[in-house]
Amino acid sequence: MDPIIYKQLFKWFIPLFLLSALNLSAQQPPITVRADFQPAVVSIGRMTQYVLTVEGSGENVAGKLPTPDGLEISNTPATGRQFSFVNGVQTATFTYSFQVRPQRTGRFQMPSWEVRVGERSFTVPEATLLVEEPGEEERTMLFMRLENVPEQPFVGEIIPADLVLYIREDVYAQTDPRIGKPQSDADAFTIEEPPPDATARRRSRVDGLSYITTIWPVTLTPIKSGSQTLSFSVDLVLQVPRRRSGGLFNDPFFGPSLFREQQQMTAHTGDISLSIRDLPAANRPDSFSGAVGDFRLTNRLDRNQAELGEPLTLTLQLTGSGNFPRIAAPNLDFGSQWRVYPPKINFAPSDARGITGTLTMEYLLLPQDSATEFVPAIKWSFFHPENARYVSLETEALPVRITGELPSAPTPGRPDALSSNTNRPDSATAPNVNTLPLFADPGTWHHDFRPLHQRPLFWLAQLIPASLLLGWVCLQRQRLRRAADPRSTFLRMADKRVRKAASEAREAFRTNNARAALDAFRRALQFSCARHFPALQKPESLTLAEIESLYASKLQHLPETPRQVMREVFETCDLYEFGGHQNLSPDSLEKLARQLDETLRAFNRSFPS
Amino acid sequence: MSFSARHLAFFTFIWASSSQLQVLPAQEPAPAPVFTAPSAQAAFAQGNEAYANSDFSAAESFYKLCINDFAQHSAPLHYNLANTLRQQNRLGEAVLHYRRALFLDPNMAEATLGLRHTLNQLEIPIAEPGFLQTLAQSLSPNLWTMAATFSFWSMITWFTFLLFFRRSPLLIRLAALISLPILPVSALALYAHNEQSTVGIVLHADAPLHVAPSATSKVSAYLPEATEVRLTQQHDGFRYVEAANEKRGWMPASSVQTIHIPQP
Repeated sequence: MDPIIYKQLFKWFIPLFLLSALNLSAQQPPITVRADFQPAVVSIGRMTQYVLTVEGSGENVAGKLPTPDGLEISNTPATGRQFSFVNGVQTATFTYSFQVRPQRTGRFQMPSWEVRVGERSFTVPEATLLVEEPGEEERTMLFMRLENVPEQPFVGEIIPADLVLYIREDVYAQTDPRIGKPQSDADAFTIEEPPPDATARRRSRVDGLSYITTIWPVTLTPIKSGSQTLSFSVDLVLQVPRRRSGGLFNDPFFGPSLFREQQQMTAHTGDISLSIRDLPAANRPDSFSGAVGDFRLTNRLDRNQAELGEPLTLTLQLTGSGNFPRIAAPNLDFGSQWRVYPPKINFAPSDARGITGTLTMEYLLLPQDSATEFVPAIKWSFFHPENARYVSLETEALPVRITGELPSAPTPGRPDALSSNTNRPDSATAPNVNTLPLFADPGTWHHDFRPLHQRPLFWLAQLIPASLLLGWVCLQRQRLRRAADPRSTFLRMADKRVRKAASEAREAFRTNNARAALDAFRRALQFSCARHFPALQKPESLTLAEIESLYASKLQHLPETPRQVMREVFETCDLYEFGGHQNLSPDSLEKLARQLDETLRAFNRSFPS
Repeated sequence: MSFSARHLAFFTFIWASSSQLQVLPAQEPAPAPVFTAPSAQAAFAQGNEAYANSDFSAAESFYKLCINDFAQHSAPLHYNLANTLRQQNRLGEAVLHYRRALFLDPNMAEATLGLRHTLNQLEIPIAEPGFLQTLAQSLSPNLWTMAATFSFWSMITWFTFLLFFRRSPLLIRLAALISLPILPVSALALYAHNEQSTVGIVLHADAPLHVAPSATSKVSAYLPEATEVRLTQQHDGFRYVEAANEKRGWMPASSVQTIHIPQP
């Protein structure tokens, strides 16, 4: 191609390119808002996401999310952001993903709603979700059952059931599922939560398929009669085959999809209906207090001989299986011959669920009459759910021999306290009762019983060492900072040298050593001047001419006398050094000595550090 | 008799009747003894004097004057008061004041002895204190606080010196070296002391434990006198009490008191 054409192209192309770039950068990307369910078709039990996408703006998004009936939508969305640069235009895309749990099958329409992006309002378009019954593949993949439940239990009967989660073995093997804690919905039952380590896992076969089952032992107790329902659910995360989008390959013929995706799922037992029978009112014994199960009752005394006022321990042991937590200790009424105190109760379960075990009740008995010959028999009843009838138990009367007489002034109260009272020695016989000396001096008085560290004043006082330390730290920091600064180092050095030279001069004046005195005086003046010009390498080499030229402006403010003294000192020193020996008269030397401090003070004022 | 004469007679009768029917002065109760003292020191001395005269009730009043009126405490005061209460067979209260004396001066041998005798009388087993308790009781809480404060500031000063200089003065190094074990030990001891701040003593025999903070609520158990309990809550004149034998419930506040006296 002809070079002229290249030149023409360059001539037109570059301005056009720059113009278009400018034009593009000036464009503001339009804001678009859209929303959809991802995936838009799910089976019941699976979760989906309602994704709101705001494109073209990074501003705050606000709005009220509608909640269609049958959908449970979380209020805490997961946010994502993405920035793209297309044709010179930067576009920000923000996504807000809300977890959606369908409650039933059907077609759900998320209505359009208003959303504010910054200061502007937008309408979020409608979105549709289709919730289907699970297919054969999904039905057999995951389900949950409540097992070992009798068809018609009684109110108060303990039901040791198993909540079993079935996950097909091939799915289980590929996913290592994360299984949550089972949740129950049962108004007419009390449910004992299984201990965390009670969960069992085993392999089983259902309809010819292998499953890995997770078993939670749950203990149910019906509290209302009639037809009652309960249900359980558990959330879990599984890697499940991805649903096919449709078309030719959406046919069972092709088998499950090869691709898998992580899904948060919920396994339900569905509503389990039980017919709860009330306990029969007919033939209900007086001694029945709500125990349902199968029990045996034994009684024993800690000894069979006691003195009046001396407590005996009667132990009742209830062994068997049933609703131990609801069993109240029998109220023993042994008449006026015995005083009975509330028992100490202890339950020792023999299984993990606490259904079987031994309930021990220890009563303290106080004999009131020496004619007492036995501890009366105890009647107690329970309801046997398998036989559907009440069973009455009666212990044997326990023989006992009571001797002695009651104290003349019996102390009311519990036997253990009472026994200690009766055995309490009086002050005359108590060991060392009266030998403990009194303190004649009250010692140190404390106005406040609280320990020192609980008083506000103590903590306030800590401010003193804290502030001292803080002040010291600040001083040290300042000192270090100054040490690191060459100018301040130089100034300190100069000050020091001025003081040292002045001191030497004074000493020399005192000993009438004129040469040394003038030399030191000059050094003091040199370092005084040098403080104003720290860049000087050797201040002691400053000459009178240099001082007068470098510090002319400063010297203008200096009174005449110090200036004259300076000149005299410098010139006399020069004479000493270069003009041979010249003795100063004692008067001149004395005059200079008197003027030393005054001159240096004047220089200090004119050349501040 | 004229009208005025009849009236005069009537009024004379009324006056005479009223003068006969005037209300007789009621039998005044015997005045309660009043215990006063110019200072806590004087009250303490008067308490000792009353004790020496076997007037334990008066001694108790004088000792309590120091605590309630002068708001002063001392280990000997609580110890003397405990002895006085013990003489009156009020062993729960005696145990409380022995414990208070030991709180102020953990090394007071007389208080330890008195406490042991009283617990023996009550047939309450004397629990051997654990390691932390032994450590805490080896010094008073104030001394532990001072030790902790000194060691804390020594360590801080040492660290500060290290921050600015490579070496610290010998004195500060020595103080830091001593403080190094003192600081954690005193912190542990203070922690153990703090654990004791909610411990209380049952004052009366057969103190009832109610299931709710109300006198009419069901009594679930009775606690013997001088039982050591932990007090957590307070409601309507009742304290929530947790005893070592897993007995819990609400006890009238008059039946239990903490060893630590709360600041009014």
